[in-house]
Amino acid sequence: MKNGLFAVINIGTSAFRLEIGSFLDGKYRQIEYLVKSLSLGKDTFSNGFISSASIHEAYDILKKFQEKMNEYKIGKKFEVIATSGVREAKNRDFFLDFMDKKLGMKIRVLTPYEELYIRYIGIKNEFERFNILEKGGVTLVNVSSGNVSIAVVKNKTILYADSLHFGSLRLNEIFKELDEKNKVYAYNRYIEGMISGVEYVISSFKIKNVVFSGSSINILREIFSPSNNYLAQKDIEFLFNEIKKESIDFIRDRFAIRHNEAEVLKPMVCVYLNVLRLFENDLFYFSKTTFPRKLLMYYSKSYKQKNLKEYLEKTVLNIGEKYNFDKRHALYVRDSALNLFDMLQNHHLLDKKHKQLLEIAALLHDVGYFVNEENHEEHSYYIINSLHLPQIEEKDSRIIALIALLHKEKERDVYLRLYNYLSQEDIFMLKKLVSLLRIADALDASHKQLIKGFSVKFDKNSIKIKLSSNNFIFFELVSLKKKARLFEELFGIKIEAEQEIE
Amino acid sequence: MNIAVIDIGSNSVRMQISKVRDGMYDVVEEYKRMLRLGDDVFSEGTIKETTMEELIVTLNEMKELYLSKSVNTVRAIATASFREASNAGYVVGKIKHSTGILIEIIDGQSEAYLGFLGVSANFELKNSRVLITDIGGGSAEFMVVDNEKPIFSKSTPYGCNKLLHRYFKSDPVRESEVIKFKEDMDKELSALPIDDKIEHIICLGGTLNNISYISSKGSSERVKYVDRKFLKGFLRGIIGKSIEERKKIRYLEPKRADIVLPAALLIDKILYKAQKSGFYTLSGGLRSGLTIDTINKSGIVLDFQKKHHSLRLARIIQIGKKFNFERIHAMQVKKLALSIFDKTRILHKLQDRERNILEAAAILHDCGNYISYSKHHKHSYYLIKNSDFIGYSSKDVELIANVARYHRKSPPKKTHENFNALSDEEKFIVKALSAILRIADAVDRTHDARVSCVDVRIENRIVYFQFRSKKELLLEINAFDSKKNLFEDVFNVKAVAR
Repeated sequence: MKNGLFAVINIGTSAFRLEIGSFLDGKYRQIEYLVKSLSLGKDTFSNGFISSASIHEAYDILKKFQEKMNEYKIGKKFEVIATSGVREAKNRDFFLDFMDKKLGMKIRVLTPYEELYIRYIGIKNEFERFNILEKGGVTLVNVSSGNVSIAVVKNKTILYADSLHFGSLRLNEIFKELDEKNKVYAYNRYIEGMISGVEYVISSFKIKNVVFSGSSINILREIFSPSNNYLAQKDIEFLFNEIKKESIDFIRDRFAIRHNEAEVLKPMVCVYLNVLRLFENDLFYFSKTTFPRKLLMYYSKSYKQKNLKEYLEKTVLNIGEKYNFDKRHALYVRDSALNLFDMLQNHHLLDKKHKQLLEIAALLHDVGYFVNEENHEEHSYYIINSLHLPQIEEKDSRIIALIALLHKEKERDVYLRLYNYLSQEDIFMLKKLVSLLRIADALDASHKQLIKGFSVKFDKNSIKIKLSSNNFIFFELVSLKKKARLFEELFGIKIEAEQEIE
Repeated sequence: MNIAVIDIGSNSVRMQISKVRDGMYDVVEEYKRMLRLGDDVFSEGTIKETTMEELIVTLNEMKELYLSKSVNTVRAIATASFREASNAGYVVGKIKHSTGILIEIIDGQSEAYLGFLGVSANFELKNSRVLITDIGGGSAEFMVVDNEKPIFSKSTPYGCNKLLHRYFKSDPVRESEVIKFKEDMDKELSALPIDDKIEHIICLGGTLNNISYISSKGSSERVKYVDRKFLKGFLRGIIGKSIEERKKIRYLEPKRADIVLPAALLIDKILYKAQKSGFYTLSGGLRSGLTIDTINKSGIVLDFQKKHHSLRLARIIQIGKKFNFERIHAMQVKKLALSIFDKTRILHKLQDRERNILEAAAILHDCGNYISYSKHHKHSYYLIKNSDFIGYSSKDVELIANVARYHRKSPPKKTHENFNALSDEEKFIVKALSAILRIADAVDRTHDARVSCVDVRIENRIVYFQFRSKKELLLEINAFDSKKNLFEDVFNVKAVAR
């Protein structure tokens, strides 16, 4: 990030945090850090929505934070981030709208996957050892108040990511009516039931290294004050035996932690022990920086970005392989689509971000074949919609899924309902991207990469595409006629293809 | 191993490319051109030079396609039109020269056998007597199969293109032509063992498949059922119409507008003789058979062809494997679920059809994990609904998907689109079966198959489940208690585990 100030507000499940920092010649310095406790999670995980009192309290806190940011003249250089306490509240739209209307504050709500990804990038940047661990594969576990998110990363590829509903505060809320002495048993039962569903998959990666993150780590650090970046499983076992029969008050006093931390300690320790059981390693790692700091670094673009593109690409290719795609076809269509995107820039007038959506859609457009050859485009849509890609926001994921759905020139009325929620502008953008993907797909209709390259020439009323190939490209030419139609309709210009023999 | 088979029929030329793996095969590509060779042969006795040229172009397109799919074995066969064309040898030579493809002309018996192989891969033929007919353009093959064994087979010249040229010269057809046709067919068919001992009729061939396509309003399922009532109505509709008028019928392939009449009349006669109220159609049957035969000839016996093998079950396992299912857990849940089903028949009063639905749902209930653990019950629903099963109707598959959908926390609700679309009877089936599945899944919560068997005793509306195991079952019993509600609600009983 360039020199100057940047701020982040993190609306967590148990507290609101504001961090303001300054960057000078690549060096970061924290200049303000405020914490106000307010447990949105208690509302959300027990009642399903944020109470009116909490909304007003949240408003007061955010207003104070805003004033603080104004004192420092932060301007637009800030982000407001919310996690599961807001995300899972039934009245989250009201909450977001309220803060927007009253404070002019746009809040970005992260999915558990985005949250995990930012933590991961943070850990990579601050923790040198991590890159060595990562070569042999590492499992990231984020134990937060609402969820436990797990990702398996190896060779710059995210092999697996999932999010399970057994965060410590959530467990505490679910079983709060139970007698204190039965709680540990209930927590374990609940967690084991969920873990048994993913154990099979996670253990199949045979990965030993584990890195934990989340608010839980702060509590463990307060208790153990470790001098290094790791703790041992037996530390947690020791802690478990110390607290399993004790009251909350006892735990609070015994470890000198806050009351709300003491409340979630039992479920949290149960989560750790159950998750650690999946790995053979006695040690687990963690990072020392707070989540607000990671958010600040991430959104001010202060983390090294150069590898991020590679991560995304490798992760997408790995998904393609999981669904047994025709890799050569996928890469060919991707390259052709991106070339077309550049060559036809003056027609579609789209930007870099759209190009990225097109790229991912081109790589994954045929993954649905794995489910069934018939209606494969619908299956591609379904699969892509269920993915959580790093760096890609939820809304953009849906657009990628729609591009893949529409790559086959089969317009169905039912599809219209799918883009109901898109703006006119987004629909137009979507159609432009689809029209490019269709042409790119047609250029490899035989899936045999027969066309070595192509160039475009602009005439008054047509675009001439010269296809250089020494092969018999019957399929490509026939397919292009059909698949270029959307482009022709959208831009009102004919596409004429001709073969050029070298 | 990838193989391509090409079937040069009298009405169309088709290719199927499949991938052979682990004792099974998957179709990866199908390609079709309507090219009516029969029109030449059955009117003039030879294949015309122009038609041959078209055939060469088509075969070159196909070659292009199969080469792109890294196919290592190719087999092309031709049927009646080549058998009867006086210049067949010349055409075969010419095609070999211009495309490199050597066409094998097969006789009627072999054609019937290939059809049988195709049917055996798509229908459960155990313990039933089935008539398989393949009404092509130039010939019609008949085979009777009893408990999986062919007991009769005959190739007849009643291909619909040939019958058209022989009987129907006017357009629209005359009443007298129809009567003459029916009379002759009555006589001809009496030489075949078609009677009411036949339990099912399965038809191959493009024209009858086109009829089932019309009756199902464009369904693309491979196996379809056509009611005789529909057939009667359809026949009434086309007899008075000219060919041009028929072409307007929705879903009717225009190039079959003429030959559809003799084909429909013929199958109607067969239904009458066998006293059946409808027939099944299988699309791509001859090509599946040809694929299987080609695989067999390369020395591989497919899983389903082995003895004591249930095709239905094999396909379920195949689907499970594809989605990387946890086999031990899946089979344990299946075992327990079926055992509970059998021991609670007095409560649910369901039959074998529902038992089979439960079996598939139990094996596949977790397959959605392949997409992601979160929402995996919904993914299981989607994957099951979009997979090709054998021995289940599309309604059955919908029910399997629903039962699997409800193995987790949320019970069936009216607000769920998938559930609400079912009839009351189907809703009951889904509730009853998912109630059983939940219990079976709960007592294998650690996924290690620790319960060896289950006994059920029913007394005064209390159902006692006794689970036997060498290991302790504390957690399992707890899980049972949290999952038993649906069972208690559906059957209005109390459930107790021991």
